[in-house]
Amino acid sequence: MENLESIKQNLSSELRRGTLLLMVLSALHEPQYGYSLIQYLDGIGMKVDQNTLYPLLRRLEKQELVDSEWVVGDSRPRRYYNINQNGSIIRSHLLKEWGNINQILIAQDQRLEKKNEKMD
Amino acid sequence: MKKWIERYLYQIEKTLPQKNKKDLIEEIRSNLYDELDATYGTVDLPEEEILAFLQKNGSPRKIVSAFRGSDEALIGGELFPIYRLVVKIALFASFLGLLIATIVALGFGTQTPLSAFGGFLSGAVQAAIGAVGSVTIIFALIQRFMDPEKTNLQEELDSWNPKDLPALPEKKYQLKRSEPIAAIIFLILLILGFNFFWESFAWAYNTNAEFVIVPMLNREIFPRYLPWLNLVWGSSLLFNIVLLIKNQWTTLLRVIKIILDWAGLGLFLWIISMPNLFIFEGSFLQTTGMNLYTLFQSMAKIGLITLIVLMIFETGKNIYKIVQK
Repeated sequence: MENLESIKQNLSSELRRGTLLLMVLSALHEPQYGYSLIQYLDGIGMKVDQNTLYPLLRRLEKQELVDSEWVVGDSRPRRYYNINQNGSIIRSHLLKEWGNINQILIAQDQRLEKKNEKMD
Repeated sequence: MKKWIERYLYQIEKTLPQKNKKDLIEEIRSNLYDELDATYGTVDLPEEEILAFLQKNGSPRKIVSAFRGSDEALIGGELFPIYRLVVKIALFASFLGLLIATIVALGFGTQTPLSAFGGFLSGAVQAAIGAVGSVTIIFALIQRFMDPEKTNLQEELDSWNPKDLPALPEKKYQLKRSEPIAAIIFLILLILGFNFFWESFAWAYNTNAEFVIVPMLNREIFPRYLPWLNLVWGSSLLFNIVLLIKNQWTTLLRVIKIILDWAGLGLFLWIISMPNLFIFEGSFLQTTGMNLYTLFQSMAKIGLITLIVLMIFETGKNIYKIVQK
């Protein structure tokens, strides 16, 4: 049987991966290029592997939720991504969804606690 | 430092999906150098540090599979872009062959426009299924036998070492992709033409009274040699597909090319030297007063000499590239 700690870690990273899309959409309120976005997410406590992030950015662009453009003014050409109007609508929708899920989980947890108190 | 990064990027670029390939590789390059600068500064790094950085970054195959998605397929992720390209080429060549056959049939008046159009449509469906099917089988076999250990992604990712990155191909090994692509189109046209339409190859001429068509190849003799032709053309087709997959020349590939070229020429000479392979009959000689046989012989000689000169030039070029330092 798998070690409980490693199961915990795997499930945590699975949960985080699920929220990555929302995290990225929220982080792109200002233009970011690939590596700057990794650093930004790292800074707010969301470690992301580049092999996960870059394809995700491409997918978001294909879904027309973010726009991108090459900027050549920096030390080297960089592709900057920025959330667009569609992306903002989706981000708001997902945030609302996230809030609902959060409320459901808290309510469920509270019910469970009350039940446990009664049993005690 | 640059050497290892460029080798790494070259391996990634080789197997990235064709669509937006240049754009993708530029972005990967930019992000890679950004991360290097941020981690180590802009100083020249020792080789060991670069190798460790690339190791941490993951194998080229891992990077590409992240962009492509699943790697578990009949035609693996790495082969898929080439597979798609060859399917497109095969479809194009099949339709082109079919179109030429239809135009010839219409020109000779052997079919009405309606039946020619119907034949073209049903032929197009068959050709599409045949082209996609045969290319898929060839690629599934290539995937299975060419490099079996590469089919296990996890195993490769676990054992990947940047020190194993091959050097960028020198100029003499660089491949112009248009060459195998043109060869594949030509070979498919040959295979289709001689397998399905060879009975339509005919001398056509106009007498004062009527339009006469005489088949060019002897129905009794030609089919005996067709399997040999298919063997050489099929081998050449497979060779050009492998060349596209490898995306570069190697000494072995050049040697195989020379062998295939001369085997093809030898077979061609052997077949056309067979008596009675070509038909020179009908009222053509009498009605036009031309000696068709002599005319054909002179044209064949000119064609053969041109072919041999081209072959010698091509072989010379390949040998030069093999021995070139």
